[in-house]
Amino acid sequence: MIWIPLIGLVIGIAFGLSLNVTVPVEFGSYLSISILAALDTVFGGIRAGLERNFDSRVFLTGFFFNTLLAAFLAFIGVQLGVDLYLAAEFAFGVRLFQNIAVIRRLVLVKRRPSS
Amino acid sequence: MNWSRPNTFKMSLFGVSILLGGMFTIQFSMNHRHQQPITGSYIELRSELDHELARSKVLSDDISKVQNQIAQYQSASGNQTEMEQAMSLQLNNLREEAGLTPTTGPGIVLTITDDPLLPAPSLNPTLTDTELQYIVNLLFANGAKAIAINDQRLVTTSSVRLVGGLHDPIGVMQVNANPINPPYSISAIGDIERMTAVIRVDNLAFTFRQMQKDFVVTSEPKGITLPAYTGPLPGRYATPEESKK
Repeated sequence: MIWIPLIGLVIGIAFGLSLNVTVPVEFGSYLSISILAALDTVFGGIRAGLERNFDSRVFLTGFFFNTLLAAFLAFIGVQLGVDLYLAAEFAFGVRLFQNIAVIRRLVLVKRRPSS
Repeated sequence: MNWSRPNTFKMSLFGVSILLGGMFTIQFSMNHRHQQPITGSYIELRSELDHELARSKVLSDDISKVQNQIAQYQSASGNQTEMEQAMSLQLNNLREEAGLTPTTGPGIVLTITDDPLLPAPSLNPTLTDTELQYIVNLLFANGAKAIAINDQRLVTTSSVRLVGGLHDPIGVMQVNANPINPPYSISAIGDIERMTAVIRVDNLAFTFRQMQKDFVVTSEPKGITLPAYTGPLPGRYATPEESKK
């Protein structure tokens, strides 16, 4: 199961390298915050899958909505002169760590009876 | 339907992972391409650019001047009289630039007079050389081509000093070592708009009013004439070797 996102990641990287898409420098910060949001969603999805309450609609909408919202928040922050992306960074960072911790526990609990 | 849930889970995770991989690659390649920091002080950059543009303009002016001179010399090469003409023309230009010839042109006249309403002249605070120097430097920095204080033309070696002694503690203002008396009249030829603007921005009228002085600026777009500098110049003891013979 762990191979699915890894294979997808490799395919995505291959696509990115072959297409050679470039983003203007000024949008670089938006893309980085979007990636953080996407990572958060992916780990949230994995966690939901392990907890057996995964909903693909929630997952997919969460992915697109969170990435766009994070980029939009960063954009608004730049316009206002406030480092609003820090809020997104903090929120997604905390959630990322929480999700990874829960996934680790779930995996450990799952493996315990078998081993 | 039992198998569809893990299936959609895998499919959506797979799709999202592909997207994430693509985003990662774009971000990495972008960071790799732009090693220098993205954010910088735009104001600093702009001022630096302005400075460099101004410098390049001055330098290109210099180049064109020297090229003109070279062209004159080349066209006159072999011809003694033409060569002399070109050289005398250059000498005149240099004398004009050095302030050794009278100059006429549009400019402004600043007049600083003691407040006539004060009951006793002794109550008037004396204007010091620092104030006059400040005005002169301000004008030279903002478009003035030539300046004279009370008909004393300022050149590169000029001095504006308040000279006092034991018996005269207040002192006498001296320009080019020549004493001048109030009211002071500073005539400046050059960019009228820039000079008047800088005087207004610097609030000189207010400053002088606080010192009980009337400060009047008159624009002379039709032109004013500044006298030539007649005082000693550096290097007056050195003479060409030929004249010794």
